[in-house]
Amino acid sequence: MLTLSKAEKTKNTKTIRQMLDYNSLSVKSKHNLLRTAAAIGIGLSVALVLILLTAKNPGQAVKYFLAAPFMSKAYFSHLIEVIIPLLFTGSAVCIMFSANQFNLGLEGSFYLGGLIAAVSGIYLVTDVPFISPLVGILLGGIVGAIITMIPALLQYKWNANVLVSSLMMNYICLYVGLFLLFHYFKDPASSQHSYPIGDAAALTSFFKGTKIHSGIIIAALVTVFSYLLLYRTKTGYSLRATGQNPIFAKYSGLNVGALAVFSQIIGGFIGGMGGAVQMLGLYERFQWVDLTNFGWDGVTIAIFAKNNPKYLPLATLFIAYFRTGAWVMSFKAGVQIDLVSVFEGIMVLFLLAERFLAGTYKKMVFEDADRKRKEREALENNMDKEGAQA
Amino acid sequence: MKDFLVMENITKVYDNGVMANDNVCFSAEKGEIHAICGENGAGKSTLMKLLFGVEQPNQGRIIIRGEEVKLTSPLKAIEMGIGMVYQHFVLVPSLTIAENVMLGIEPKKGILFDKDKAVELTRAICEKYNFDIDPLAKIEDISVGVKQKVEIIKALIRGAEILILDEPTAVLTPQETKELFEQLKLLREAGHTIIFISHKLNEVKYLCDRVTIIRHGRTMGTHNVADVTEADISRLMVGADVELTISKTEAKPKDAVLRVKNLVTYNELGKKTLNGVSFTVREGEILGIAGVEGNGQRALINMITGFGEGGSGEVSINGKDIRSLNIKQLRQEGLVHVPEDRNVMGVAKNMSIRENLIADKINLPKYNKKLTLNDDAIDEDTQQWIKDFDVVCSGSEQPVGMLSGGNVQKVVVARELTSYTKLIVCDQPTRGIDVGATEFIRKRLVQKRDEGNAVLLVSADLGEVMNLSDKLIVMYGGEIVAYFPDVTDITEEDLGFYMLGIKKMTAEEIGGAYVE
Repeated sequence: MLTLSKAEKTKNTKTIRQMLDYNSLSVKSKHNLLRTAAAIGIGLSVALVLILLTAKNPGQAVKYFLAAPFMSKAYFSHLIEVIIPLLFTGSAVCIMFSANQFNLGLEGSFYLGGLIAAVSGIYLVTDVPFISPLVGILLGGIVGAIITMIPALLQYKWNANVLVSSLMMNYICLYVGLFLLFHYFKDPASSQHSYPIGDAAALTSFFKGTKIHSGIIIAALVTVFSYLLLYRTKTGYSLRATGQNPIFAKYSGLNVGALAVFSQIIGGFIGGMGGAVQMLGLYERFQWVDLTNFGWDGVTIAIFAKNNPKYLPLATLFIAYFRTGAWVMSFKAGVQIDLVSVFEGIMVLFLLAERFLAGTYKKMVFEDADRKRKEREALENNMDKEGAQA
Repeated sequence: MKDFLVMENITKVYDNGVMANDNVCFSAEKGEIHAICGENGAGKSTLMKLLFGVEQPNQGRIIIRGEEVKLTSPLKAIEMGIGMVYQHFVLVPSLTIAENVMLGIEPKKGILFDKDKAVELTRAICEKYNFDIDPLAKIEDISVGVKQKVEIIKALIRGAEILILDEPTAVLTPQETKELFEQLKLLREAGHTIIFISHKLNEVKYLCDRVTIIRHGRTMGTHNVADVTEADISRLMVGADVELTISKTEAKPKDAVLRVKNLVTYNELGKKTLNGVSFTVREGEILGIAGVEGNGQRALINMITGFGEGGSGEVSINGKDIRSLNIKQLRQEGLVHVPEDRNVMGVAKNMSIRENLIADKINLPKYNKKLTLNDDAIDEDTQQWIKDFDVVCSGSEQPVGMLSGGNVQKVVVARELTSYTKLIVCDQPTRGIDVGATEFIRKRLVQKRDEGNAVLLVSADLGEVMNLSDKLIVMYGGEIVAYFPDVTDITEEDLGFYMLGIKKMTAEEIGGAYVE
């Protein structure tokens, strides 16, 4: 009977260790799914309870809330309409948050992006097909980029907290916009609408009887671009490294400050484009007298998508689906549309709460490790036996 | 007393899935010094965190004085008479010793802090256990050795009968270590139980009654120290005979690579952190820097690696002044840097091994196509490095945060040493990692030296600096206080005197460190 030499034994244990390497990645993704499901479940339950409490005909209300997009072409069209701006601001936030830059100036970018696109369509290039919308959207992007760049530079140069200054920036944008609207662009025949935007500047509709416009293609392209930028280029790599650990990024030789500013310029550009597309796709005249809220929605969407544009289609579809439901429910069953904000807010809270279901996670990790321990022990026993037989 | 302290079938799994303790059993008696030995990452510290209530076990029981207890927090553990002295002290620098000792249990006069009483109580406990310290001294003014005593007093005054010391000698000079041991023996005589965590076997042999050995999270048995040799313990710890002293040939130094001349720096408060430091490191040699932490090493490393600002003096690589270069430019000059704290600076934990390995090379043409990254080239090289540097992982896409400390450090070293290198700056390259990884990294450094690189090595591990260095300088108070052109015949004791600032070489001797 031969026994294994010591060196061989050590080597064997090592291979076993490598084979059963303590890798709990799968546990983590499982737990993430569970967390997301739980957050959605809690959000939905609260929403349903609120519907039951406030609706005159709860059964009908719930039906609209859960299935509206399938109930008519107009409702489905609304779903797509909601998705378009969310893809823009969602992409923008994904890029900025990936670099850990909490610039919240997208409201301003989106608003002024819309305004400048309208102005372009009213005064600058009013009647050249293709070129008119293109110019409008590019101008929107440029203005949007300037809006987020200002707080970014203030932070870079003078260490002014970007969160605060970008929030302030939004109001500056709104009031500058309102001033311009009421003093220069307002059609005297209307109370708050601008002169009409040239027909050629509008984005074309795809299907008769719906408002689905070619902006969806631009939105899809922007989403793909954002993903490729973040995950397939050296710039994107550098942005993410900066976001994950700025000290590490600096140590690796990356220009952390410039990258931070750059991420916000790109984000603002996409946000401004989103505003322009929204304006040229849906409106005949500029008429926004308040911020659109799409900037904030971008944050919600990015949280759902874990700052990865890859998940934006799913995340925007999810949000847009229930928004459409809430919208239909509001005029069909008389339930306040704000309900959907409660629903979204609750889900975001639970998704952001890092310790949410932490106990379950600990248990899952332990069970996984315990299982591996048993497998390893079985394997070791087998090896000993084999060694003994040999 | 039987069942004074029993930890039974303890299993602990951390959130990243690492099973740090696997069915561990441990017991200690009243009035003994019990060593827990095991290499870094074996699970010693985890076991002690469970005993001090910092972490809770997934399975197993803890029994103190015959009763099962649930230690849900350190407060609970303190109530049960357990005290812990961490390797990194938790003291308020601006307060006095007495104030630190009384923090949280302040004696009061009405609603006010009774300072005199605090001093009196501190003094009393110092006398009782024969500690020679001044309760009125401020923490910021005292040495590391005294700070450690303060930590021990803090535990004692809270009624600790079981005292856990986590690698207490790692931060001490040989002289301070000796003093600590005398103190611990006195405490044992007074009936205290001391749990002494260490991997310095000669210390275990000298001081302890029994030793429990942990390996890969499992207990390898408890022995009377008198019955086992250091070699026995080492074998149980590592599973094989490991020679940690790396053999190397004599250095063949050539041209100077790094030159530091009259470097003076200040901290934010305007206090001098470096005071006229000058030295040279040449191709093909390793210059070691010994010294108690906080004597200017940080500032020096920062100035060389592009993290320092201000100050005066010269720093040059290959004759080129580098004071105004940014880190990217420094790396182009051939500087690579293994930072002191791998988790803070060395890696981005949530990013994959692959992404961490490529961090400093992301802009190289080799890894880029026209617009996008060249994933094939990156994959090919990173896979190869993972193999070459023996990083144990499930694949290159695994997040670095899921790896053990030793493997994280191998990722850092792999990235740095696979770059263009002329000057390798290593700050604590093997701190807190297992012997296998330590041996591996040390060998790589020597190999890099033999390939003609200049290596600057800062380490708190005296064994490491003395083994690896070809030349050695000692830093104290922001200055070089000793320079040894030949490392072979110095002892740790000798170094200790310089590290404590008791001795200082003449300016002429120290000047030898700088070569024109």
